[in-house]
Amino acid sequence: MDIRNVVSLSAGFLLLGAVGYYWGGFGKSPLSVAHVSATGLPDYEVTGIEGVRTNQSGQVVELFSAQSIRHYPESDRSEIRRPVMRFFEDGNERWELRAAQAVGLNDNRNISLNGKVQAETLGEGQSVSLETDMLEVDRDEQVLRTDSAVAIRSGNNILDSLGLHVDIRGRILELPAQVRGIYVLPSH
Amino acid sequence: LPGDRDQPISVSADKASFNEKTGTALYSGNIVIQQGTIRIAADELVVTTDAKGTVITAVARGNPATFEQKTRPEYGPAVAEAQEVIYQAVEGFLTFNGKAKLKQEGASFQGASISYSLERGEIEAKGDKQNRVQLVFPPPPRESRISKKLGDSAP
Repeated sequence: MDIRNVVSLSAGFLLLGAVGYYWGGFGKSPLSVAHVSATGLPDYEVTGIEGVRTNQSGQVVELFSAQSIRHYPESDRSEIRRPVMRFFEDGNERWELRAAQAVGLNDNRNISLNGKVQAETLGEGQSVSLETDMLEVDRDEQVLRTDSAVAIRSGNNILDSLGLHVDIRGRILELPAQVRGIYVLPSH
Repeated sequence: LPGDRDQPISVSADKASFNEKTGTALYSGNIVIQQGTIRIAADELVVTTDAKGTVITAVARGNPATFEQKTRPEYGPAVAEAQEVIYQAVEGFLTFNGKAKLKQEGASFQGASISYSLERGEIEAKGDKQNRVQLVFPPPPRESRISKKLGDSAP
């Protein structure tokens, strides 16, 4: 076989390989600059946000406000600063939740409050307030949940627990572990 | 002791649920309730409070629920047990229901139900068809007994 044929054949294979490498995507590195710039940035940021959520009959079920919300499309994740959430039932205020920041997932249906989380009941019934580090909020089900330590105050009484589950509509707080209660009595 | 009733009530338990509408708390699992020298141990406890959160009643249940309180320094603690112990915080009354037994200053009481006033230390025991009231009082100490023969006139 003539040496010139061999040389031209290998040059051809080399060319084919180079084309495949760049167009065929064999060498695509996961952090290619073009790709990072598309995924790393939020698609919108809103400051001074205030929102109202209503049910099918137009009744207010939630008021929502925050200092800012920054949304990342790829992970459908929102970073929220200073959120305040107020839940209603049959038009009556039930709970208000506040925190330093939060992360919203699942189209902001699930909010994870963290940093100085405070919550309190509103309207009739016992006044209850609680403080914890982190609180998961299911906005559709109106359920609050945490595995962190919680300090609950009702009147002069204090309840501490490790973990908490609150069914806002059912008006029940479940304290799952290490429960301590202090009841202060009026003097006789 | 007299000051017990003015102390805060502390409760520890494995878990609890709190009804935010009624203010009722249901505790369960390894419950210990303490107020001053009063100590109650039980399996289940229901605490009801008024709108301001003031305790109205605490109902402890167990097999049995046990109670202990120091009465006067010179005596041992008053101890009691029953299937149910009801504490009425405002009135300062304890009621022991179901195979109730109470021992205080050497005397013992047994019946279907025993009521005990924390303030006055008074005890009231009630029986029913199955459990008649049984009271046992210790004889006075030997030295304070007067040795008399039959027919001797009173001193």
